[in-house]
Amino acid sequence: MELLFNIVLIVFFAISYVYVGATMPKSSDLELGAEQWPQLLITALIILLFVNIYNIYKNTPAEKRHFKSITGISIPAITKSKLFWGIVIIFAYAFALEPFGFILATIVMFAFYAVLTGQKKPSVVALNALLITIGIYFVFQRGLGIMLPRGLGFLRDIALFLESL
Amino acid sequence: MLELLISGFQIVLAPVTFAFIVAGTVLGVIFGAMPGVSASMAVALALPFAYGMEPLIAIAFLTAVYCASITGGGITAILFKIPGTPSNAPTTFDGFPMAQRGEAGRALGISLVTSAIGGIVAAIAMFLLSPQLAAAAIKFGPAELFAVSFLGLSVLTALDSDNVVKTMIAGLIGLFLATIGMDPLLAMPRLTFGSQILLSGIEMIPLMIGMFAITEVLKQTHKPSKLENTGSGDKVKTKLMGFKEGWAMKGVITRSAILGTLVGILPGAGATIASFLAYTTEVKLSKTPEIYGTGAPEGIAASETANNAATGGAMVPMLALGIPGGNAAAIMMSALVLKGVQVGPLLIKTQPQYLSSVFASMMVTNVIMVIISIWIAKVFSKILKVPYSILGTTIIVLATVGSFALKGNTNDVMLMAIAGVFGFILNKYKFSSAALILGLVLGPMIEANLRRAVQLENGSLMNVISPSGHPITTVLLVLCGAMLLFPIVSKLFAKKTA
Repeated sequence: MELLFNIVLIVFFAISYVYVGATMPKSSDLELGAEQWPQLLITALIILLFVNIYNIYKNTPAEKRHFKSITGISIPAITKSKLFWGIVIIFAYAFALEPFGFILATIVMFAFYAVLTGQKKPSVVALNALLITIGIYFVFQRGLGIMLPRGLGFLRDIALFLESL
Repeated sequence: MLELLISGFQIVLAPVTFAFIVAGTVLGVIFGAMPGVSASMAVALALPFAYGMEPLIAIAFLTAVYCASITGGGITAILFKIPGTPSNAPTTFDGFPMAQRGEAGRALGISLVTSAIGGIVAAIAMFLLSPQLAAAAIKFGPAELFAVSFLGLSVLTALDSDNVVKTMIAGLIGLFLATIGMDPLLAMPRLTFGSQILLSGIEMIPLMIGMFAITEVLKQTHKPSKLENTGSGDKVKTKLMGFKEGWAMKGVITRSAILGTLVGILPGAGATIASFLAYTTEVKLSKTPEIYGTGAPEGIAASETANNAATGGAMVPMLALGIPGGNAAAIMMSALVLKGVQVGPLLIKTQPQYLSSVFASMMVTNVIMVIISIWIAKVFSKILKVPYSILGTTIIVLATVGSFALKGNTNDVMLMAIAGVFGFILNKYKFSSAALILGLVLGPMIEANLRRAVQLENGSLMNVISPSGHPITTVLLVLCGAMLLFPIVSKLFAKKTA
C-alpha cells in the first residue's frame, strides 16, 4: 500500500509539473519565474519519491515482493473498519453543515461517532450529543460572536430564533 | 526596556486580558493533560476562541494555552505513563516509577516547579534576544531573508533521523502546497486547476487543525490507546518542590533551561527534541546514570524544564524574524497574520507591545499554571474518566468550529477533513506532518525572497549566494547545508564504525 501511495504522489506531481509549465507565462532569463520554483520543488520531490520506492523495495524481504497487497485489497474488509466509517462520518458532517446547520448536523454526527468509538449507552450518547452541541453553540455563537452555519429552510428559522434569544 | 516591560505587564494585567490568560491556562493544562492532544493541537483547538479577540489579547491567550499545555502533559505522563504531549515522553521514564512507588505528589510537584522555571528562563531569554535578532534582520535584503527562511528548513533531516528521505519529501510537499494560489509576484493563479476555492491558496489553519486534531482522532478510532493507571490517580496530593530539593538539582535545571531555550530558538526543532536532548544529556553527565529510568527526580526536572524552556525559545524567531520556531508557534503566527499583524523584524520596532505582552503573559502564565495545575491534577482522574468516544467526538466538533470560523465557509471544514485523512496516511507511512507544516509556513517567505533576490541580481542565482555579494547569505546557506547533512553523515559514520 505504501508503494501505491508513492506512485500516486509521483503521478500527481508529474501532472502538476506539466500543468504549471503550461498555464504560467514563460519567464525571462532575468528572473526565477512563477513556474520555475514549483517545477524545481516537483523535480526534487519526484527524485526523492523514487529513492523512497527503492528503499521500500530494498527493505521488503524477497518473499514479500509481490503486488498482492495492492491487488488483494478487499472492499468489504475496508467497509468493516472503524477508520473507514470514521472518515465517512467526518466528510458527511462537513457536507451536512451548510444544508442542515450546525446544531442538527453536530447532534447527528456526535451520535454516530460516539457509537462508532465504543459508546454503547443510548442515553449517554443522546445526552452528550445534545449538551455538548448546545454548549459549544452558545459559547461560540453568543459568547464569542462567531456565526455558525444556520442551515436551510425551517432550520434557518430556528437558528435565527436562537440567535435572537 | 523598563518602559516596555511596564507596558507589557499593563496589557497583561488588565482585567479582560488577565481573565483570558487564566482561561487559556486552564484550557491549556486540561488540553495538554489529555492523552492524544498535543501542544500544537491545544493551540489549534483554542484558535476559535481567539478569533473574536483583539490581537494583543489573542496572542497573550494563545501563549498561555501553549505554555500551559506542555506543563499539563506532565500530569498524565506521571500518573498514567501516557505523555499528554510528545514532549512529555521523557517525563514518563522517571515520573511513572515515582508514582508507582507512592510518590506521585512529589513527582508532580517537581514537574510543575521545574516547568515554571524553564518557562520563566526562556521568557527572559526571548525578551532579551528578540530585539537584537530583529535589529540585525532589518538590515537584511531579499537574499539574506531567503537564507534565514531557508535556515528554518535545515532541521528537516533532524526531525526524524530514521526517515530522512520521507521527512524531506514531507517538507517538499509543504513547500509545494505553499505554491498553490495566486503567484506572489505576478498575481496570477498558479496550480489552482481551475478551482475558484484554491485561488486564495491552501489555508494554513484548517490544514493544521486537520493534521493535528482530526488525524489524532482517526488514529484513536483506528487503534485506541489504553491508559495504565498507577492506582494513585484518584487521590493525588501535589507536593511542591522545596528550595532544598531544587538547589540540589540546580545543575540539571540550569543546563536543561539553557538547552531547551536554544533548541526552541532553532526553527522547526521544538519542545519534544528539547526534552529528549536534555534528558539524554543529563544521563550522560550523571555520575549515577543507572538511577535514570527508575524514578529519579532529576529525570523529571530535565525533561520538564527543557520542554517548557523550548516554548519561550520558539517565540524568538517568530517575533524577531517571522519564522515560527515550531508547530504551535506556526499556528499562533497564522492567527496573528489573520488579524492583520505583520510578524517579522519590523514588528518589534513598530509595535514593541507584542514582544512585551508575550513576555508578560509567559511570566504570568508560568506562575499561575503551577496553582491551576495543582487543582487540575486533583480532579484529573475524574476528567480522564470521560471516555474517548465523547472526548474524541468533542474534538471533531471544536476542530470544525475552528476551521469554519476562519472565513465562515464550509470549504475550510472540507480542507480540514482532507488534511486529517492525508495526515493519517502520512503518519501511517512515517512521513513527518511537522515537516510538511514547516514547509507550508516557510514556503511563501522562501519563494518570494529568493525570486526578488534573483531579480535584483539580473537572473543570476550564483550572485545571490556568492560570498562576495552576499556574505551573510553564503554563511547561512553553508550552515543550512551542514545542519541538513549532519544527521545523515553522522548516521553513515556510526554505521561504518559499527
